[in-house]
Amino acid sequence: MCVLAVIGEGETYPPQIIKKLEGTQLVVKEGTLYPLLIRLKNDGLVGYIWREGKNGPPRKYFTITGEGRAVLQGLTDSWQDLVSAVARTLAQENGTPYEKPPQALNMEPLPPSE
Amino acid sequence: MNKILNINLGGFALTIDDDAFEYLSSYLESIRRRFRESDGRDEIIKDIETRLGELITDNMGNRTIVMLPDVQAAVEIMGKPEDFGGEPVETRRKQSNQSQSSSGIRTGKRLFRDDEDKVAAGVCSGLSAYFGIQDPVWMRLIFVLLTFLSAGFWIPAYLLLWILVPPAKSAADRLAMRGEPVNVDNIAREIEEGFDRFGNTVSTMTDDFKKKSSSTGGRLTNVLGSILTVIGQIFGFFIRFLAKFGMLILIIIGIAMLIGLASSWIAGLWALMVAAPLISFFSPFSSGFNWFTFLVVFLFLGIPLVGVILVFSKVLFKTKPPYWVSTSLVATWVFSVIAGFGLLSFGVKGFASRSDVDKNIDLSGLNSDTLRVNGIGDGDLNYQFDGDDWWHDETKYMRNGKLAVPGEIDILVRRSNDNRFRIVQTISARGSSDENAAQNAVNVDFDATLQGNTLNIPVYYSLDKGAKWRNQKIKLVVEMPVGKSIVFDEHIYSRAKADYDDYANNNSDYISQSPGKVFTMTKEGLVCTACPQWGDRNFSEDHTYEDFILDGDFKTEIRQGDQFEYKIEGNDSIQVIRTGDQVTFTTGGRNVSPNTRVIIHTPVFTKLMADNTGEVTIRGFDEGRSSISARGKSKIKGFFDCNQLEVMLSGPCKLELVGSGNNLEATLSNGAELDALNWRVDHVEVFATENATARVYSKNSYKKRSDSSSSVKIDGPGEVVE
Repeated sequence: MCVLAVIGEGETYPPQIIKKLEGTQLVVKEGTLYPLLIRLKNDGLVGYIWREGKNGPPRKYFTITGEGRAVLQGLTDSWQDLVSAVARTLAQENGTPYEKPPQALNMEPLPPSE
Repeated sequence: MNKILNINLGGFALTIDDDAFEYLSSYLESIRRRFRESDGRDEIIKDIETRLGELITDNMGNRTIVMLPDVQAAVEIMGKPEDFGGEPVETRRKQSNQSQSSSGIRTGKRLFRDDEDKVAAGVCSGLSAYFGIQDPVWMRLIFVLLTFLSAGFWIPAYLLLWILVPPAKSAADRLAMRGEPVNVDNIAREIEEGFDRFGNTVSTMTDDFKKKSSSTGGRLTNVLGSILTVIGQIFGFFIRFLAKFGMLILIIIGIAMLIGLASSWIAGLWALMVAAPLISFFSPFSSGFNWFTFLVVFLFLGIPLVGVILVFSKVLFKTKPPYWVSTSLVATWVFSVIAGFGLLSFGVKGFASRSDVDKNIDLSGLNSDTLRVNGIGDGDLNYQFDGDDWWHDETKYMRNGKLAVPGEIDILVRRSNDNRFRIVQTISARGSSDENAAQNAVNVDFDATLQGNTLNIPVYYSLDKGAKWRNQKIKLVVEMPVGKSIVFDEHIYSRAKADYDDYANNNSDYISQSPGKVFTMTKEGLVCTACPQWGDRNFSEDHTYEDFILDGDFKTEIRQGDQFEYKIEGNDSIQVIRTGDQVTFTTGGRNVSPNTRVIIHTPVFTKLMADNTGEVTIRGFDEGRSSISARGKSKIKGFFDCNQLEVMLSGPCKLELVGSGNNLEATLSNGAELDALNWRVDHVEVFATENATARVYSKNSYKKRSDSSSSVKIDGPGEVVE
């Protein structure tokens, strides 16, 4: 989901994904990404375009598809439902009143048409 | 110093160091294996390769050659297959994975020595790693045990492994060394997976075929398609079975190889011990160089053996013997070949000349017309090398440091010009010169001595220590006056012979085939006075005999067979004389027990003469022309067919015939009886006199003539002609 989210921000080169995720303490190895990306691609959630690399063969930049966006939206919704449910449960246990947390992931709105 | 290679890694042209390359390819191989069952495998790998290439290139800076640390750094970023989450791989491997160390990358297994964990050279720990045993202590224990059990063989085996197996130098080596544990299951699985892929291709192909055939609507082809699928599955199963089995066989070969090496080592040592005392007799050198000869032979035969083992271990365990090992092996072998040739030519020189030494054997004590010749010494030594015993019982060949040489004695019997027995003994020998050859002949220790009327001849000669074997041969020429006899006993007869011309005409017995038989010199030549024919009881021959004479009271059966052979049953002996196409079986006038029976097989039967013999049966022939004659009390039954059969019976004998033919001609006399009612023939002629009786059958015509005392009865529609 996170990967999808990162790609959702725009054309992405896999190492960039790693960098972004490092920032959020979700540490993964690069090798993990490729099978994941290929699977997403095979499911039609992402696509890729070729861009000229610095000094080598063209690089694969991944982009999100409409379907991917829909799935991402669905995932985000259910994730937030889950998070709030968990937070509420924890709050009840601790006896503190539940406060709605700020939105963790700020999703861009869906593009108007696709 | 390391080799470098140029590779294309996902579109990046890289110049890479050998170590780094090994590491990289094993890494990629492990990834390939990790994603074996993923859908977009090729794409994943391609992406990873490209990224790796990029990482490495970025990291290189100004350097041109990719080194191991560069690859390691890139792999560090990319992560090892274990770190990859995502799709689960085979659960099987995970189960067996309890204690996989950090090594991670599973690669083609190679045997290395573990320099970092060693007692002597790290062979055991390397083997432990290879076979996936955690603690090398066990392997060491096994080696120590084997060393004791194999009487030291494992020490050179260890040394050999030390030489053959390279140490794990680089990180890649260490990874390859630790690779996945090798066992039958793993290897078989590898192959199985390979064939699964193959099987998938086959089934895809058959599916395509099915689609095509169903689109054309051919039902038959559809059926054909399913048959193909079934065949494909059976084939796949078979191949899988073979793969499992094959790996097992490979491993067994490996083990057998080690055992072979062990046994040849032991055999070599043992031969060294056993053959040591023998060498001096054969070696061309007088003393110390004998060991050199042995060494040369040992190397000449041993090095190719080691070479074969090297090749095997290269194929099986991917070992690479260091360059100097193969070079020095080849060099040593070439040396042994050259030295061998040198020795050979030197040895051949030792056989260049020949000398004979003659001596008369003293027969002055002989006081008989018959000379008995006995072979003395071990009966086994008589004629040939007794394969098994040769090495086991060295005392047989080495007696008190002497070499015993069997089978080099020949005896020739010929006619003497005067009236005395005379024996001349000739010892011939080879040598480097005439004098040397004569000396070698004189060195032979051989004594034929007369004791009473018996001449004792050793069946072997011996050579003293220090003497050389130079193809010494002994020949005894026995001159025999007319009227005297000679007997060779069972130990020596096979060494004796006479020229063909010295035998009497019609003689078919030879001294070399007749142990213990008396041969007498006559004016016509040598004859065996009381010889049954050779092959007394059972005999067969390609020669065709068709004329049979039976003489004496025994039972006989004559049957059709592919080849002439006969068998005599019962304890009494029957003499068999074969001349031309005639065979005579005779009791020689003696009485034999009633259970004596002769069984003859013969392809052709044309003539039988039965003289006062027991019951004779003739079976199964289909002849053009035959004759049966009988005398005395003979009783004959014939079950066969014959176009022209002639019968002559005389005396109280009886012939019963069952079969058919064109003509039957019978002459009967003196109480003879012919019963041929079941012998269906066109034309019959019977001539009966003196109390003879005949009953015959005729289809067309008959002639008969008989006196008043005889009776002839003719059956059937035949009419009289006369």
